Amino acid sequence: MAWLHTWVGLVLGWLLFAIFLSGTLAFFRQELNLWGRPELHGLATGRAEARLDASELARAERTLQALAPSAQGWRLTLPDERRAGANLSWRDPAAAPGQRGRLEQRWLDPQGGAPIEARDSFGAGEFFYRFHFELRSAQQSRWIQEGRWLVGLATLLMFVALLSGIVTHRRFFKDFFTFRPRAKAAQRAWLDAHNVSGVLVLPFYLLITFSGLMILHAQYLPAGIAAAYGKEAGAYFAELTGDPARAARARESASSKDLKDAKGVLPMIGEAGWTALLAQARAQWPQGRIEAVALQREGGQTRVEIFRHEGDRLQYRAPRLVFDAATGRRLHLVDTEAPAARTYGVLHGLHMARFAGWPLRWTLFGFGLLGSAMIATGLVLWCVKRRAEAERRQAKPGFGHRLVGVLNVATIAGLPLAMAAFLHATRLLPLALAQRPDAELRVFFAAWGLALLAAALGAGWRRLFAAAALAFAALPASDAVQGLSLSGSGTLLGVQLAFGMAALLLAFLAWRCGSPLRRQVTARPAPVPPVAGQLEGAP
Amino acid sequence: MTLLHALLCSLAAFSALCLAMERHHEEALGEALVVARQRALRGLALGALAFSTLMLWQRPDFGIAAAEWVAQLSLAGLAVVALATWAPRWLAPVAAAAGAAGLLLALIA
Repeated sequence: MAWLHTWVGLVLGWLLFAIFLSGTLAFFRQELNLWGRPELHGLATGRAEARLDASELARAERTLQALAPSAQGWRLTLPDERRAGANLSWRDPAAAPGQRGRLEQRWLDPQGGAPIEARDSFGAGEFFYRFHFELRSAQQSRWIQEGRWLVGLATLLMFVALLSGIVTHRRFFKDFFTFRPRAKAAQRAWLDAHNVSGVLVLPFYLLITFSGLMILHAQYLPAGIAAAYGKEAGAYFAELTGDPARAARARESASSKDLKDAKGVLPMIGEAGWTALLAQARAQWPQGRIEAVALQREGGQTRVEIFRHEGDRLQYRAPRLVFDAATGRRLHLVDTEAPAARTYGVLHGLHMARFAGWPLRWTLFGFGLLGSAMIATGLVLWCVKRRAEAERRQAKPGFGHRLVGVLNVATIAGLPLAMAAFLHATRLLPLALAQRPDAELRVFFAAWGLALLAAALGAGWRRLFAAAALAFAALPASDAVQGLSLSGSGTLLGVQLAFGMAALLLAFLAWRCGSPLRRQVTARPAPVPPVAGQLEGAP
Repeated sequence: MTLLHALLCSLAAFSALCLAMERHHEEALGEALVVARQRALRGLALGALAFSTLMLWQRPDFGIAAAEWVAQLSLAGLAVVALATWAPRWLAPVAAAAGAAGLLLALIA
């Protein structure tokens, strides 16, 4: 079983590290999104939902009519403790048949409801979220499905690596609390670090990996659905989500394409209409918060949907109430009580962690970092072990060893650098740039590519970690230079502090790695015992 | 508050489990572990772990409370490893203080 753990871990370790680290940052998706759009920094987070009233919805409706009279649907997402300002989004009609219209969004000022247009950005948190499960490389990437397949494969192998790792780790309980960073053999210290970071947080890893696989089960395992539902795949999703309209919609869109082209101005509900609808929603969920309100035109019918807040329960997605927009009649509640569907919903919810308050959110973030560290220590361990063997045989490390060393440096130290570069790009790229979101992503991949090049040319751990530390430290500094006032916003202050902590952590890693130059010099007169915790494998 | 109570109790529980291991006991207390004490420590750990679920049952959404409880278990385990590695002498005093604070929190809440 040990060989399985070693090779599965090595082959996809780099990809897994990237998936794990970007997913960890996605725990703060909303906060990073807000940080990346300074236009919205004046808006307050944490509004009590109870204050949502019909006049606000009627005002949003009028705003939309003025901004986009031809929109065929809209959604108003309300601010909460993580999101600032109500977000009004809609899709413009497609320019040509077969295309999707552009998604537009504005934020509404709570005082007066004036629409605020933020910069054209992928969204700092949004990118980490999208990269995490589809390796998104552009806003309209052609490779999304392939990316999901690759992430699925990596996740499956992560699961294999976790289970084989438990079997391989013979002293699972004996070494439960054991960490010996000052052990004489570097291999011992690295193995301890790998084990401790693996064993204690194992419930989190098992859950996040398994639920990660399950979320996209319909894509990875379509055969079961096809066998039970045949061509009516829509019926499966209708049962899974508890949305009876979904199956009908799937049939409708297949049979009558012409209905879709029936366009006109969306109806206005008006303040009296909204009062009645909100009252019904509040009666349905006396303890619940409302997250969003949407108006959708599909087929010949226009529907109002009121979404309960996603953080209200474990099960994902949140339930929503659907009304007929013309009559105000309640159509149905989209939710499921079916045991299998609920199990899936809870797994999905545990993965998304929308329910997590601040203490749990930071804890999960820490676990994510630790998981990244577990993968990283495993990758480094591969090198350390083989280096020890090569030294015993007094052989020079081969090409494979050097390749793994370079890829380790480029991934583990290069990815944080690329992430910091991307964060800078969201803030510093010219606002008038065409296709600005894609340019942001190009900065990310270019920085990562440069890190790989630098590692191949022998830059080593210390330099890349130091560069990443500087890049993260420059984020709050750049904010200060831009004269952004952060007073009054706990969220933004938290993001800044987190950047500072990331810089400190990376600087600590750079410091512990030691300069390869100095090590060579000191190693000549007398062999110095390896410094505890020293990262090996620098070329 | 629930999370803090559970964390304090789990910290005491994991510390007791850690102290019930020969190597860690010697490092932390400077004396060899005897069987009777090992049994007592393990019993104490079990009790503290059970007590850490005390406030779980009152929560409106049991699912969310349970998810938080599992997460804090890992957190407590990591804290004990950090203590056992870098400050083994502090393990027993910190565990005792955490246990006492957990009890106190249950009383006042």
